[in-house]
Amino acid sequence: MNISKRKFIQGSLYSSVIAVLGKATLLQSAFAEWPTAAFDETEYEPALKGLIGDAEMQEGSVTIDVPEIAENGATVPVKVSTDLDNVEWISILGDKNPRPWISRFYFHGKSKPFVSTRIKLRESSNVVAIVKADGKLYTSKSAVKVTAGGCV
Amino acid sequence: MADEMKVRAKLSGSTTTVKAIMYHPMESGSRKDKETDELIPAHFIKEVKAELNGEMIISAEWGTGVSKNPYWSFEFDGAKAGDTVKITWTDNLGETGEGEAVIK
Repeated sequence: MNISKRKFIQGSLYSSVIAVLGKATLLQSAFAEWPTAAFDETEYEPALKGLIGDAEMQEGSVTIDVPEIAENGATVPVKVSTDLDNVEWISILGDKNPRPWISRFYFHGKSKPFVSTRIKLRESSNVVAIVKADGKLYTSKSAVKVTAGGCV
Repeated sequence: MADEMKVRAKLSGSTTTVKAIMYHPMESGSRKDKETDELIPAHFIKEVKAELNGEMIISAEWGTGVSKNPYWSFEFDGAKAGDTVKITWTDNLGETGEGEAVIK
């Protein structure tokens, strides 16, 4: 009886350990690529390269909804969406920001390839959105005139 | 904990729309304290994830260009009223915050 009980306890311990390890791995894989190389750059081109390397992008297929004029650069509403299928992620950049890379959103399960957020823009600039879908990159940009720059 | 985030989740047709506001300074590390003239250390949310009934639906990586008290809205299919959406963030100092909403 004791043996079987011990075995049972051992068994359940092992499965808990495996469950915990599995979860840790899952969490890690969701954020394994936090784009330090993009974040660290202070100019747009190097930040873009930090994000996508030398990969080519196709213009279009990405919709960006931003105000033409933003009175407050500290909080500029941005919506990005696409009709592309199998979207892996959407990333947002501001080409004149002191750190041009702003954010990246990964889509799992039944999420829609859409994001609505608010970003800081130091000055009038282009908001750039990049979409990775089916392993390919697509991009669009939209100009925003900033009348009072955000404290970025 | 209660003041870290506001989350609303609303079902319309087959699509759930989530709107969230997270209370966080999102300090870039390049702003100066006006009184001491010293740089205010960077303090910003780096990672966010949204889960539906414990299953990941969207995860995100943020830098300092996301506005203070970040607003985030997203959409997904496949949920029903009464399901729970949970959002969790981790910042660059290792602090975490969470909020959840029952889909209406």
